[in-house]
Parts: sequence; C-alpha cells; structure tokens
Amino acid sequence: MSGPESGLGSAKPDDRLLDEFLAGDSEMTRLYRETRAIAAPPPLDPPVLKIAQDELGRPRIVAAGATPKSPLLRWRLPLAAAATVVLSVSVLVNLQSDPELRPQAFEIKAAESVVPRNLDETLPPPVAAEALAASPASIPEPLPATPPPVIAEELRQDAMPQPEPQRPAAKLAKPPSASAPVPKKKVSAPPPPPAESEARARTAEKAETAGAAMRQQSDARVNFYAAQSEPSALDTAEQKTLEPNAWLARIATLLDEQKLEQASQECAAFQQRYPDHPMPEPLRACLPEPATAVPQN
Amino acid sequence: MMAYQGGDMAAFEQLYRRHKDPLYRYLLRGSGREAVAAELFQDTWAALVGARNRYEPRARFSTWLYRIAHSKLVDHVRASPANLTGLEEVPEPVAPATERPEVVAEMSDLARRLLGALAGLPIEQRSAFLLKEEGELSLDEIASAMNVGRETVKSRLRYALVKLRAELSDVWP
Repeated sequence: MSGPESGLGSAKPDDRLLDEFLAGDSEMTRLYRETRAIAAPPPLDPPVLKIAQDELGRPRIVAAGATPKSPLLRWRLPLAAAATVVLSVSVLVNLQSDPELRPQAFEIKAAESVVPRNLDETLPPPVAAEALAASPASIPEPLPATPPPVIAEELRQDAMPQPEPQRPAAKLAKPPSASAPVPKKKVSAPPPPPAESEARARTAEKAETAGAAMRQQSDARVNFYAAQSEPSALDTAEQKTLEPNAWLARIATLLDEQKLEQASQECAAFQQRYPDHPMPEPLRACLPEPATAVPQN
Repeated sequence: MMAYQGGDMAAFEQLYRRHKDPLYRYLLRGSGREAVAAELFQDTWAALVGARNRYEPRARFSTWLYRIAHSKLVDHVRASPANLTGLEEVPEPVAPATERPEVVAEMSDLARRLLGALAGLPIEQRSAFLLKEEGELSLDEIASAMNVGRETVKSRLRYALVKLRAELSDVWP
C-alpha cells in the first residue's frame, strides 16, 4: 500500500502541529518563508498582460452564452406538432372504426348533405353515382323500397348535365335551350338546330329520370332514418330507460295512430317490464289475452 | 477583478503583480519543473482572463485564482507519466533541482532540506501545503480550491506536516 495518506502507517498525525501551521506561527511556516525569494521570471509578464489586454477588446459574448438554450426547448414546437397530429389521427381512426362512437344525427346530416350536393353541384353524374356507391360506410344499407343500383348504372352510361331537383316538371316541356341545365351564358344563344334540339330533349328526359331516381333514393334514405327515429316496439334500449307513464303515453299515441300491431308489442313489453304497474282502461285493449284476463295491481 | 470586468486594465495589472510570484512558486514547487511552471502560469492567467465575465465576488479572488491553478497543476501531473509517482508513491526526498542555484545558495541548509522534503510529498499533500503557504488560503478556501471536503484537507495537511517534520527530525526532535 502506498496511498497518499498511508505512508505513515498507524501513527496518529499531530493535531497540535496542524493547528500551529494553520495559525501561521509554526516553525514550518517560518522556515518555508525563507524560500520565498524566488519570483516569477520577468519574461512571463508581457504575454500574460497581452492576453488580458486582448481579452478586453473582445465583445462580451460569454455572458450571452452563459445561459444556453436547453435542447428540450429547441424541440418544443416539433414535439407539440407531432403530438397534435398523433392525437388527431388516433381520434379520427377511432371514430371511423367504431360505429358506436359516431352519433346518429351526424350520419343523417351527412347523408342529407351528400346527396343533394352531388346532384346540384358541378360534379358530373357518373362521379355523383360512384360517390354514392362508394360510400357505404357513411350511408347504411338502403331499404327494400330504395331503387336498385340500376340508376347508378344508367348514370354511368350517360354522361349528361344535371337537372336541378327543385325545378318543376313543367319547365321540362320548354325548349331544350331553356330546360337543359346549360350554363347561364348560353341562354341568350340562338336556338340549336332541330336534330340537336331533339338530342337535347332526350338527354334532358334521361336527366330528369335520373334526377327523379336520385331524389327517390335520397328520400328513401331520409325515410329510413326517420323510421329509425320513430318509436318502435323493438327499441328495447329505450324501453329500459323510459318512465312508465311516458311509455303508456306513447302506447296511447300508437293506438291513436291506428298502429295496432306496434301498440300491442309495446303493451306486451310494458307488461313484462312493469308487471305491477296498473294499466289504464283505454289501453287494456292492446294487451294480449292472458294479460287482459288478469290485470295486476 | 470587478474593475477589470468593466474594462480597467490597470486593475488587472495590480492584481497580477500582487499574485504572480506566489502563484509561480506554487506551480514551480507543485510541478517540480521551471518550464512546466511557466506554461501552467500562463495557462492559469489566460483561463482567468477568459472567464472574467463569470467571476462573482462571492469568495476571495485568490481562492478563484488558485482553484484554476490547482486544477491545471493536477491535470498536468495526472497527464504526465513521469509524474505518476507524485500521485501514488512517496519518492525519496531529493534536493530541489528546479530552484535557481543562486537563490538556493542563499537559503539556509534547513530551508533547502525543507524544499527537498516538500518535493517528495504526494501532489495532493504538497498542493494543500503550498495553497496554505503561498496562497495564504484558509482551511475552507483550500477545500474550495481543491474541490474536496474540509476534513480531507485537514487530513492531507496533517500527513504533510508529519512527513516534513520527520525529514527534519534531527533539527526538530
């Protein structure tokens, strides 16, 4: 062992010697002061003083660099932007993949806004039909009364100008220059030759047929959603939360509307859900036979 | 030093002339070579001048000066294979060949023996002794300059003093 503090073995250092040395009046200090005759060589002075003089001429950039920016601060904006993108994408993916997260009202509005816009705006009919056919995710399966996709096929075969859906049918009888949905700047143009006029009439007729079909399809979709929002005997989720009196009022409404089958189903469901709730006299007619025979209190 | 921060070169010259000789002796007796001492001397002042804007008058100027000097001295000793013995072993005391002969000739025999014994101390003990004698630093200031604890400095000084006294035991029984 030859460590710095191990050269003296187990001998305890002299604390008194240390105290005298620290006080500056030890023999060691007095002896050492005899050796202080050595001074710094004079040739060392000019370089040091020149360094000090040159340093004064430099701009004080050390103070500005004394508080360097943290690396985290430099990445603050990119990190925030990346986090925003990741959050947005994950929310959108969840909304798209899970239908339960999408509110039904939003789907109805989306369906209502897609159909007329594609009919009225500048998209050509094939694009409109393909857009409708290619959006099953946002539009549910059509009802059986919905026109078949033949309409879309017709739209694909005939590239034609779009008729305005709100325009009355009487206007179709006007000359093709007025009835066809040509741009407004062509209205003042002279009437076309008879052959061209005839072709335009046929085109307008097809357009009207396609437009009517599209309107019918749109109406069917709207009716489908409206039917979904009407009270139904199979709407068990709503039944679970409906108050008994509100439920009975809805059954009475169904009876008033002569929807006897739905009213009967609602009565049976009500009886099953609330077996002890008294059934008002006017509504007992909709109960099944065993229920009407033994009303419960 | 604050005046020099403000651009007063005369203030620096005053500081330099006050501290240059003790600093040079500290480096000379710490390194054991005149050439090394001269190089470390200039490096120390250059570092001090370059860091003048970071100086805050929370401690004495000499504490800051010797802290830089001690750091450069220890770095030099550790980087030099010839000086590794100064860190780990206690060499035999020899006459201080680095001292100028004409100056040494004027010293008493006892003073020459003291310098020889001092040169044989490990660098940490030698530096602690020199910081007290040349820098005139207190115990806490030595601890700050060496970046160690107060008790560590006391321990190094005790061992240094006992060793030096043992070398001069024929004079100081």
